Amino acid sequence: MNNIKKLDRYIDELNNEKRPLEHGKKSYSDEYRKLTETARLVKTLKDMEYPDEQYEKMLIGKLIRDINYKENNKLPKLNRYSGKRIIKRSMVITAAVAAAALVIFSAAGTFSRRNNNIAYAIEKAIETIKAYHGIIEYTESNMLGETVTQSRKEVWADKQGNYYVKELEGFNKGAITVNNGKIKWQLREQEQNAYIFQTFPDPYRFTFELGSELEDVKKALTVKEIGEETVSGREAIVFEITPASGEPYRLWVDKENKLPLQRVSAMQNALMYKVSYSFIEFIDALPIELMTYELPDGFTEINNNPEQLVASIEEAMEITDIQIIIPDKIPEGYALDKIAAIKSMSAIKLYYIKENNTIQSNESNQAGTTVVVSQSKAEGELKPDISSILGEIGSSKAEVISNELVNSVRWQQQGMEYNVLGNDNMDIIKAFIQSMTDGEIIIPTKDTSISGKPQIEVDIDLEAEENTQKSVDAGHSPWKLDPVFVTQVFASLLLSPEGIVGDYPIPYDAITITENNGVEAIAIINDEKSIARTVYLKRLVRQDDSGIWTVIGYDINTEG
Amino acid sequence: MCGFKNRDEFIEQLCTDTWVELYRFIYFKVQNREEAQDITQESYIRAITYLMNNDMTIHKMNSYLRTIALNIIRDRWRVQKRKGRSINIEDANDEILISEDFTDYVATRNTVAEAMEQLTKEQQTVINLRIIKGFSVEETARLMNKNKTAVRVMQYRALKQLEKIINS
Repeated sequence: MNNIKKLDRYIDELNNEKRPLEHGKKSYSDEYRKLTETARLVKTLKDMEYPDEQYEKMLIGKLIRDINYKENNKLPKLNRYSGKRIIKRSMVITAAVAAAALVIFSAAGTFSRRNNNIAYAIEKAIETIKAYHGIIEYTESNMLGETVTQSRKEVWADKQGNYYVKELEGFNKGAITVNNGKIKWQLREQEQNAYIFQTFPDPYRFTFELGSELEDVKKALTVKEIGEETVSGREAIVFEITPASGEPYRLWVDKENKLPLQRVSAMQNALMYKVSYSFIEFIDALPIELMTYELPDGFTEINNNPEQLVASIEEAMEITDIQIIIPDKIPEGYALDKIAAIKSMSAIKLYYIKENNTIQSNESNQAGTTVVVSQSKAEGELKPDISSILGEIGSSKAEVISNELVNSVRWQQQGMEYNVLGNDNMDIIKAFIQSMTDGEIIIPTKDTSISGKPQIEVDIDLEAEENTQKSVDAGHSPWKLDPVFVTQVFASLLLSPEGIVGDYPIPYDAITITENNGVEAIAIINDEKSIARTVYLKRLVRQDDSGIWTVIGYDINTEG
Repeated sequence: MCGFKNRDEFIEQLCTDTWVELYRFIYFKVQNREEAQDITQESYIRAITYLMNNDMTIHKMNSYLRTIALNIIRDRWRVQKRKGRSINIEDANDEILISEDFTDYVATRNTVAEAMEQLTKEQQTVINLRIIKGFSVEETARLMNKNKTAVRVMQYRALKQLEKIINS
């Protein structure tokens, strides 16, 4: 939708005394922002619309209820029974519990003020859990109200990040995945194979979508209490949560113990997803028999983890025949946990863990915090991942990845490739890097400005971009997440505006991303026939690694 | 909260005394009732929570509430280009609010009205019908004997011109 139509809709919304979309999550051009500001100024000439007569009474009543509710729920307590401290319930409790047990302990403390009431309550409830056992159900409903159970999983998990997951129903029925911190394995019954994987980083999360439940609440634009409902016998408060990006969703939080009960997504592409626990119990520790690796009879072991644990760095250097830098000043609280050598890759990995008895800081600490320093012989030039931000270590280009799972910096210097990766914050990662190099460390953020401005600006239809983002979220057109591919398509269409038949006229390899702060990027096209030389890209709709890239302008290629 | 029997009484009194002015301030910024009501409520929740947790007395309650409201608006609209910083609610006073934002309703309205006069007659008409009188595009088109597209383009150009005049 162009600015003319958007402005028209904006005026309609003001006239209808409704909050325009522009007053929320969307970002708009400076020009459009000025137009909406002017429209509001003009509307000041009109008489003000006051609320109806009942407003004062309603406001006072709502405030009294909300404030009293907040005050009365400052320190939620879990129901506890004697003995094993088990809470059992017949139905529903959702995955934020699991999320919390696995992820949230690392994130304590820094939530925004806006949403801190519910976030605080959930956080406090979760803090009291050591481990749990439950059944998670994932269901999908369509617009006709037909519901299909996508999968059911039995999970055992603790706050150290250890877990056992058995697929009870669904695509991988029968598969068992376990990570006990020392070894991660998956037993696939149908194949009769046992796969061994590295334990860290572990991208597998059985509650991945909800693993950041608390974080989502903290970061949400708005958290509105919209009512109360009984969910399978449990009284729950229903919240409507509008995330900073994405569609609003609803969260049912148990009135009594403040743990999330159920999460239901908004209807997207005529489908709605619900995730809930059909059963859960809280326990002190995970059963040892589930967490111990043993190859079942008739199974074949397939080891995907090439790492060989060694007793000393000297031994690792002997096996791999490389010399490594040993971080000299590691951040406080960290200690070397294990050393692994990978002979086939001439690589050594140093695993550091944060000890549990360190001073607890709200910013970064939890059991299971790990930083891995990998060093290997450099093979060719560093090729940063398409989703990475571009930083610098000394005079070398650095790949910077920052997501919910890990923070990672990879760079090359003097024939070696280094990677510091961990589930702690970026400052800790930088501290490790500082202990390995004297070079300046530059990690751009979204506030770091990109050099230059395009000679030619491209018209943007933000509504179309938003629709594309939704489509990408649903798994379509993943190339929109790759700034190089987006540049390739754009540059190719400049040459062939009628459409591309066969190969793209501009090859992928001819494009280099020279700057990328995670929100804006600059691509250089090294191809004589290209009309554009420098292409400017931006994540207009969502400013994280799930956000699509859009070309916002370009400079003409004068060398063609 | 001294002088009140309990929290509920304090909340009731505070709202009764201040909501109209607070609502007016917010409405002036957002120009729609739905959002103004919503932000009014959120401002009180923040203010009262803060007062209770910090055991403090606020001398200028209206300024204090306006500051909170302003921060909420900025916070909500933060992805748009921002003009200012968040104001510490303990520093709230009228001078800050006046210096950082349009709070002088009359002056603002005069500025806009004068700027409107510099538009062409047709531009004035379209702005008057669409925004001040609140007619729909269809109604405006009929009244001006134009088609809807023409009305949309005219109002766009008129606002663009008005923005230039106001900011010049």
